[in-house]
Amino acid sequence: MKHQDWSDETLMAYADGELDAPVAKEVEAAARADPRIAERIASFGKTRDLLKEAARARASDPLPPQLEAKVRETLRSARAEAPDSSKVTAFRQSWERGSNFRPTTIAASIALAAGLAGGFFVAQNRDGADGLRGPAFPTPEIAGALDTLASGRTQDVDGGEFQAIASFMNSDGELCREFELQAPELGRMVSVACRSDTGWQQRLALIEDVAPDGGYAPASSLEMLDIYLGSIGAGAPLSSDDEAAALREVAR
Amino acid sequence: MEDSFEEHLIAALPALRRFALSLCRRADIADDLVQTAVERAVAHRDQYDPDMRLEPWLFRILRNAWIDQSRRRATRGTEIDVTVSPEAATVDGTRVNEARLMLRETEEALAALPDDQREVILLVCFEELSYAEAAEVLGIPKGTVMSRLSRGRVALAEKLGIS
Repeated sequence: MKHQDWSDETLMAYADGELDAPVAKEVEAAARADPRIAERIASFGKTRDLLKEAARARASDPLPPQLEAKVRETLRSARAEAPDSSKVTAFRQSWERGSNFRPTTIAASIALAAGLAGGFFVAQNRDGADGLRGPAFPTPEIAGALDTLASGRTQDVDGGEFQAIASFMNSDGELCREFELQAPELGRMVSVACRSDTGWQQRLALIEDVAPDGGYAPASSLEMLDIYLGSIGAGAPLSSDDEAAALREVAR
Repeated sequence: MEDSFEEHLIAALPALRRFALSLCRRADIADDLVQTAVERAVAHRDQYDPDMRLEPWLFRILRNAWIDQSRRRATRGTEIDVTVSPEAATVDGTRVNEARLMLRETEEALAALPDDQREVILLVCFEELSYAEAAEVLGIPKGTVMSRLSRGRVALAEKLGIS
């Protein structure tokens, strides 16, 4: 039920007290003149009240004592010593090593530019001058996975395992995909590739030495990824529907 | 002694955990997520602008931690229904009153919404963030917050028979 002059967004903002006074006055006048507008506003008020009730019910769930204790311990140790990023463990599943990987095509095309704390190497290529964009990367299989694989899914490529992590648009309006490649001799590579007119270009690769136990990665690696994503103006991850639409667009 | 940042952070834990639960729907993962967010917040507290409210900043950190994690999680294991709180579990048929029924229906309707709409509703209607704060947490324009929020609430109203 749309009204000629007043969008749902504006009427909702009025109900939520988010409108500037002059606009709010106009909405009030419109609501007095048209009972359908008044009803629409009242409906938004009702959903707000209901949701507040629901929030109160959830709020009554007590905070687990062990969680609070752990948080207090974190605060205590942060006070006691300077921040130590190696203590911050990223919270991700461990993975199984692949068994029959032949890493030559992938590994040969990756430049290890700088050693970093936490067992990571970074290789970054903004203009494709050297390193990452060797003739072999992305390999046809990886490019195919970038073209089609929905985020969250994995696929075997070149003997390793490719996992699509997320898709987003950068500030240049290019579709970019974050993905991981895992293989015993490569370790794990967290990578970002963006789609230009000529195809997929790898723009960032963080290569992690695999811990002997296949355990947790230092969070610093993901923080570095965050910094990189910030630097290219990465938008929020696309929803699965938006991603599917963007990939269809790429396929055309 | 705790400073005001720490006190405020402790005070925000219930809201953080609620938000975490709404994202991952598993109590154990939610607790780990809160802990991860706290660790990141403490490590980056110099980036916090004291003129801003702490909660939206914490929510944003927690949401980013969740994205890091969930996007890398091929299988999510068993998700629990967030409505299975101790309170909801005591519903026994004879003592169901109308308000509680409505509450359950609200939760069910909420759970059926698309993720992007539910997320905005949780931030604005549950955690009482302003539209601008929610936009900041989600990294999207305020106009997008408003359109998702209004679509979500219109859908809720229709499901719940409110017109």
